[in-house]
Amino acid sequence: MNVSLLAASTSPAERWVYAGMLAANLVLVSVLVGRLGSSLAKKYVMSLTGLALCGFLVIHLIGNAMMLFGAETYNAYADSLHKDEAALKVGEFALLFLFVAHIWLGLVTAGNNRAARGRRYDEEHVKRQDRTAGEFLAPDYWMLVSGLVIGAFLILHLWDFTIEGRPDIGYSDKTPFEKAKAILAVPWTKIAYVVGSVFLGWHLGHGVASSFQSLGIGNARRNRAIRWGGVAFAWLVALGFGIFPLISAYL
Amino acid sequence: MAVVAASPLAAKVPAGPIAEKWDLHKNSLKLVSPTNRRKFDVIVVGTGLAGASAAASLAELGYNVKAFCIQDSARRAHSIAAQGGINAAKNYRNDNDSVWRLFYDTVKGGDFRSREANVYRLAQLSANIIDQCVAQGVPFAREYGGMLANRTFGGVLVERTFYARGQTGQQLLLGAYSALMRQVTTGKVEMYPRREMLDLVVVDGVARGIVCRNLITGAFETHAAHAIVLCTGGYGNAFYLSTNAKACNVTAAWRCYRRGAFFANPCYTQIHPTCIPVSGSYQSKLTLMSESLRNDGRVWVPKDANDNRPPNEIPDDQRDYYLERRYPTYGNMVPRDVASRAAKERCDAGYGVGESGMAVYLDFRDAIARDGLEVIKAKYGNLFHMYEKITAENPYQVPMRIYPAVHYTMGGLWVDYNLESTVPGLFVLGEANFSDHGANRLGASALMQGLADGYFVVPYTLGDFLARTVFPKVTINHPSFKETLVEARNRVERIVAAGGTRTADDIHRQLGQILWDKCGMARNASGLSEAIGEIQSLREEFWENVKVLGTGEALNQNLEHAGRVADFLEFGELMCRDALNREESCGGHFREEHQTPEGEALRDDENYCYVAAWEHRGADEEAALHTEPLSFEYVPLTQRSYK
Amino acid sequence: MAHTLNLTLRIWRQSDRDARGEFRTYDVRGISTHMSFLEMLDVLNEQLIQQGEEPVAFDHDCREGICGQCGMMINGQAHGPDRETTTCQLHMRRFENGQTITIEPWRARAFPVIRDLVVDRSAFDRIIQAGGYISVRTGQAPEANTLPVPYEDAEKALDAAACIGCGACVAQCKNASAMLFTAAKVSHLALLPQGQPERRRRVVNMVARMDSEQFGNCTNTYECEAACPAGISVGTISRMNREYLKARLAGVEPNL
Repeated sequence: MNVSLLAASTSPAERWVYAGMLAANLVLVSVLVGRLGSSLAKKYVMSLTGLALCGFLVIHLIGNAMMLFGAETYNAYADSLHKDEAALKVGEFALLFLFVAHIWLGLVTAGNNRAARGRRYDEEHVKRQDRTAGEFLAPDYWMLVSGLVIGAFLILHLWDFTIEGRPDIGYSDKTPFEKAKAILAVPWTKIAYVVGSVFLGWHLGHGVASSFQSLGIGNARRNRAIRWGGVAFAWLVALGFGIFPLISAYL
Repeated sequence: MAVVAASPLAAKVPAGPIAEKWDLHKNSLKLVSPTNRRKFDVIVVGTGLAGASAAASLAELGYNVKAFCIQDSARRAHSIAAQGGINAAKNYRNDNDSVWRLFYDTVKGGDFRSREANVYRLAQLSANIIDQCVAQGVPFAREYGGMLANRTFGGVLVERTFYARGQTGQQLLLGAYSALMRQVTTGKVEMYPRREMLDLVVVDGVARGIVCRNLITGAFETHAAHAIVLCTGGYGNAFYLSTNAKACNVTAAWRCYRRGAFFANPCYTQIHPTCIPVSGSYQSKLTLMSESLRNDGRVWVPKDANDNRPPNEIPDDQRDYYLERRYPTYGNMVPRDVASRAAKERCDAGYGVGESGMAVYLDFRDAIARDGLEVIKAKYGNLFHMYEKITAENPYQVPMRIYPAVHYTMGGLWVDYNLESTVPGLFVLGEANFSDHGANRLGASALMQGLADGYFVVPYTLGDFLARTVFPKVTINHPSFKETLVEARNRVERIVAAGGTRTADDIHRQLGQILWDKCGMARNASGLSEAIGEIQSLREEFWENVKVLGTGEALNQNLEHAGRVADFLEFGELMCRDALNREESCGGHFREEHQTPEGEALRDDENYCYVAAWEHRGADEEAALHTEPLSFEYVPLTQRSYK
Repeated sequence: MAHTLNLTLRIWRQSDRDARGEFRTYDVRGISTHMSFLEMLDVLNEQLIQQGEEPVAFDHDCREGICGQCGMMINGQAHGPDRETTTCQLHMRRFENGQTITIEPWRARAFPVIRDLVVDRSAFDRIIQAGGYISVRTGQAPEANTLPVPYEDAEKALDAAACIGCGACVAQCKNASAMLFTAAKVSHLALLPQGQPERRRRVVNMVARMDSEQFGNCTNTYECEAACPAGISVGTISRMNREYLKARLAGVEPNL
């Protein structure tokens, strides 16, 4: 998240604010999920939070793209985000809510779904013959896994940029541009960020079109625009994010 | 010679002109007040079109209904497999159709062996059925203007058949099932799925309950009621191979027969002309290809019996379109019995095609050339698809191979005009009764009859019975219930204990072969006499030598089947006796001794214009024959001609 | 032309609802490729009876693909490998000589195993009881052509109404979800003018019942559609999602 790059370093107090936000969101979401009476209501929330997060990803990507125009543009963009600290915190809270709700519901439904099967099949194969990614790579079968990987990546990413907790990065003397370059220069981080992007693409490859189906918009299976639009969006986003760790050294 | 009872049966057909009989009769029927209806319990056995529609309609009226079915859900009864359509005298095509014509066609199609008054009522009610089904959400085929579409069916010259692709029975049944499920929700119907009725409990001569077996636990249950409505379908599976579902059986009807209900016309079985031929000795059932296919398909065999070329290489002038040749007016659309016998005649004469030589071609080449592939696909796509799945041949390119197969049974428990059997309080609906189709049923009439009986007849006539009967209080603790329960249980235990070497399936196949060979599409006196002897000894063998594993105290499909085979083995004999007694050919009953020089069925109206109703007189006694004379005041008795 | 197969069958055997159950392996020889899958099991069962072992219990009835009573997992696929095909319509020509075939019952918490390959699907009946009907009494119907139904709507309704209630959608779904079954009925009735008065109550109540039967959630993998022998489209699920949303936004509460 590139939302709090301005501060030379995140203060301990700010970290407590984030911890508070997280706790508040956990309470909020647990109450909300408890009030979602039906499986379809859960689907709606899952879809809406997913689509909203996609919207955020687009904005984030636009922010990243500022790096292409050089340090000045990028730093100015980062500064602009911090013009109104209060509004930023509200935005961050909302964003965190989307993540928490989406992940929480994902975990709850995955648990329900496992329980609904009961004893597992000894042998299990897909019947759809049009699975382009093949039986074992079908994104819809791995949403929980890909989601958890993205979640883990998210923690790393927040740790790197928001909490600024990496001991190997000297945060205090860096502009946002330098900070990004420094983090992405670490080889294992580079790999982690590429992997995170790939998993994001994989996750969204099912998630975007699926959201439309869940909200009853069109028939996602029959409607080519929704189906391929979703996949195209997913991999464009993944490419967009995945490219920066690879090219950051040349910026 | 059969023992013939002296007094003819009273069908209680009301007086008056035929068009007014039902209305006059309804006016005379007694009513049960809305507040009193909740005091009456009614048992409905079977949830096909007749059973589901009856159970739902009776529950809507306010009676307490217990509905039983053998399947795991009421939605699966075999009515679901009816493909082609349902007739109704709506005259939507403006082709001069009418109640009268539907009545006339059905009486004639039944070869003058049905009860005129019943058939007329059926034709009258046909239009209400369509209204009811449409209101329930049955998605019948529509025209672009949104109005209901029709097509034609065998044995008629109008288009009066309503349909939902090739799955009309399914859609009608789901309509009735949904009405039934609604009544389950209201609490007026209690559903008992996976139950098999094993006996009827008669108290002081009146049907007051049933014994059934819970097929999951094996437990025997008794249920008491004020009336029993039996909707358990036909007995086609006596032949082992038929188009019936595997669970279809005669047991419930047969047990009622053994408790005093007369069995009418058991020899009337319908052999459907368009089925997929038998492919091997392992065959477990036969699959029907809807009669509607004959609208566009042409039936033929090679003119040369030794012509082994692939069908598409045989030129037109070397093909024998034998239905068009023999019956120029109706052509490929002759009634089922006629089409079936014609196919048998060609195959017996050596002109049959396919590996077994027991098949004829049903060819869509000309229809595809005339209407285009897309039109044919739209009409019959699912049927062609099904054919290809079973045979691995593409009927768009290669003619279908078809052969007749047992499909429907016109005979059944005898009922009067009120659909009440000879046991008071036992009503019999749908294919389980004998009433409306005579010796041959026209296509798209079975669905009509099941729904007419269930929706519009029995709700009135059953109410009349309840209103005019004084019911002594009877619970399942009554000695009759206990006795009947013990008898039913003993029978099941005897089967388990037999401990022989032959499986029930094996014995069933043998029975089927006997019936198919000697009481099938063509019958003669010597064959029938032989068959009776063979069935008797097979029955003896069954009780000594059947091998059923497991216990009666669990789900045991093998045991269920064995019990049904035991009843088929008794029933098969009665079927042959009835066929032997009926010294004439009519509809599905073709006695080789009685045919015209051209090989058409020859009736004997002088001596056999009656319903043969058989009375059980004990295990070791021959059944007694009662007759109900049939009179034809409105459709004059004529030799059927489809030429 | 027919030829014959020798096969090894791994079949789930379970004596009753509460028993543990296990796989047992059987050999069958000389199976004609013209046989249906169930006929092959018939042959096995005749063989088992002769060997003194109780035959394998499996549900079946019409054997022409319409009653919906049959169904089993065949090598990990509901109704086996063919599309739009029930187990009874699956033929042995789809298998290879020497092949091992694993046969399991439908598995879902909402479909408890009763014995061997037989499961209890009464949850489906209860979903229909919650609203899968049009409330019209016998005798109340207006003349059939009173309400015209556009050709396209009638065809779409029939596409959805073709559901045979076999449960393959639940069995094949990795979440054991009953969305396709429920959506098929909701769509069928929502598409017809006769279904309009109860349109909102119906979807809300049917979904509530579906949830209470402990089926899983739909995650839009569309395996149900691929397994459906009646070719029901997942478009029905999208439609139900839409119907339910509209009904709830209109303030309709479930009432079971």
